[in-house]
Amino acid sequence: MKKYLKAFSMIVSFFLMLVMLGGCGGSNNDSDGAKQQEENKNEVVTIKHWVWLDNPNDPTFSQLVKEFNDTHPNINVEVEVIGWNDFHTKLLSSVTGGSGPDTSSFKLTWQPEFIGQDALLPLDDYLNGWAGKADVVDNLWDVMKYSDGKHYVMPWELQVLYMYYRPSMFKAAGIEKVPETWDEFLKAAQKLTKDTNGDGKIDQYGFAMRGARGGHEPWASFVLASVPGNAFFDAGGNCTLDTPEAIKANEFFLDLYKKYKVVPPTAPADGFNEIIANFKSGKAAMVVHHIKSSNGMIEQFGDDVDAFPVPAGPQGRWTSLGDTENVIYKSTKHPKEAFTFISWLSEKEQLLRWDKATGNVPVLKSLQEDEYFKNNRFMKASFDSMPFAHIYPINENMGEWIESLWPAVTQQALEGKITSEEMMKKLAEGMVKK
Amino acid sequence: MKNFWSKSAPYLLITPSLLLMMLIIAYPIANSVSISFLKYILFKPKDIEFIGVNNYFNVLKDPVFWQSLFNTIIWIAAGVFFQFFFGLLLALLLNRNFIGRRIVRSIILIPWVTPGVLIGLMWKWMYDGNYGVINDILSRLHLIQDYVPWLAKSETALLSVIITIVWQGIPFFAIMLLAGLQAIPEELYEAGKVDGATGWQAFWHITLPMLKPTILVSTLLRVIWVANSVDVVYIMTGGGPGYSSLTLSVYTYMKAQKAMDFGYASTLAIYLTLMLSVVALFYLKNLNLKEVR
Repeated sequence: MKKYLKAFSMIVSFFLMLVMLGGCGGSNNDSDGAKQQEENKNEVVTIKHWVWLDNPNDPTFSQLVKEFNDTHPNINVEVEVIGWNDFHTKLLSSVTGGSGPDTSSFKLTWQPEFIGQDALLPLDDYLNGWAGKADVVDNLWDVMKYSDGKHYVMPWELQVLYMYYRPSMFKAAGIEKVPETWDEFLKAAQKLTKDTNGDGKIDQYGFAMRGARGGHEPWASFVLASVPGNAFFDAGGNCTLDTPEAIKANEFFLDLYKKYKVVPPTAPADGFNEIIANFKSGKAAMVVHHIKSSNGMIEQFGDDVDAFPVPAGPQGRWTSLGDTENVIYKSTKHPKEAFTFISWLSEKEQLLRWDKATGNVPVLKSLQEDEYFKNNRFMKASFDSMPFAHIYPINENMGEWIESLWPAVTQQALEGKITSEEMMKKLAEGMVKK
Repeated sequence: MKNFWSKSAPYLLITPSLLLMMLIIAYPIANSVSISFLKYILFKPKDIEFIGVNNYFNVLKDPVFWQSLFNTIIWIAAGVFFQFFFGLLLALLLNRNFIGRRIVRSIILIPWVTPGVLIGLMWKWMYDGNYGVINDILSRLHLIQDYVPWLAKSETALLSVIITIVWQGIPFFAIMLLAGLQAIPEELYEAGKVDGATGWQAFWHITLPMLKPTILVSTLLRVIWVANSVDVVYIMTGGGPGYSSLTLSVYTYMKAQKAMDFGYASTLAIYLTLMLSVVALFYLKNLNLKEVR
């Protein structure tokens, strides 16, 4: 009898649990329906927009959104600012789970994950009717075309990587002009690497190398400048990273640390903060980054900082294009209003204010002609770099490749634990694995 | 009927907590176990398929797994041992009477209440090979000639992060052990004194045995926490240079959050859980808790 009672009460407990769980689900559906009804009544369409901001204290974005809401009485954009570090993960898991926003900021490299699950709305039909389409910088529509021939993104922000340098240090080292090729770069770096206070220790280095996460972008400028076609894949679709030219160019990169010692000894562990600190403290005379660092550099050095496009190799130049776009998710109930919002953000007036506030390179040709941008030496370096600016390949291996494979094998190669060839084989394998 | 209620009421009463337990403990565990049998890459939601124990075999064939397992063992053994050792010293010190004892007791908690992310960032700059205060001090003491890039060399990276986690964990042991010390009746020491015990003998035969339950529980807790800690290592070295400071939990984090390979990451997590469970069982069995209570 005792046993039965025990079993019985356990069953009762179990059913109680089920009822409680079921109750939760039911109430959710109800509130959804109520929401829908309410929306129809007021006829104001709500667009949920997710964005990350490089400077969360800058009110420009929320001011723009407020203006949009004021001038578009039938649309109410609700913005959620999410930190960059969590943005991708949170976006991906919310969209996969069906609770994502209507629109959001986006990176081109994320396309496979989202298009793979049919979450993004193709924008071609809307874009064809958009007045600003022809004003977008040449080639950008090509760069942003997905492999199925459709466009899923609305261009918004651009940055191009170039070389920052300190004119005063160049002068002190007797360097007359900025390096045009990687060989000249090495010579300059050797002259710049020296002991400045006479204590017998090197305290100034030529170049702030980034060997930790994120270093793959400047690194590719060294490697792809030696690869015919300046691309990660050749015409036959084979990865070029393990070709002899790429391996040799990579060896040059590694030797900056191993053999010539023209980069700080901390290079394998240096990430973004460290290379910028090295440059700003005068520990390094050159560093690769984009225009968003320029305000901080000017604050620090005034006129004693300038920029030039990354040097060329035997096969030309390659630099990395940074991008942020806006996208619409298929799950939205109001695609038309969503497009009104994201295209408004990329229109000339809004873009001018946004690019001035954030220091981005304008995506519109008419803005690049604007005096404000023309007279800026860092904008000039960016525009000069545009013709050979490209993005990294877009495929589902790249998340791991960028975040863990590249730093790990580069650090091993810098320490001499593996050869340049082994490093490049691993990188090529990691890029194409199925 | 009365009998029925008295029998079943307890079960009904624990239903809410049972429900909560199921929801926040049993379900996630069951879910990760089931994910570990799948090819589950978040990038390819259409390709999710059952692959049996393939993930379990693939992990064993993965050289990075073995390297990170090796690092994890050193990380836990050295990390927890030195935390305990210095924590015990500190606890014995704080158990004495001196002026300002209360203030010191509060101050030593600072490392423990500082978020791991902050600790990672702080120590990263302290270790910095160009401006780091550690290099500055060591070179002023003439212990090193040139600045050492502590986190950029695979010989020193793991050691450096272990020192950081030791610093973080000392207060935990100090406070736990201090509580244990204060629970030891003064009479035991008096009796010891009467029997002619030296200070060392009193420590060895009274303090340590009386502290044993506290030591057991706090060490076990700390082993589990250190094994699962991601923030300090991830921020300071990201597992590098190469894989030289990669621990199993950081590797799991990267596989899940960076490679989005949830199947593989779940498998790694389950291996880690199994290993920790074995340690915990062995530990509790061999150092019989009831006996010392």
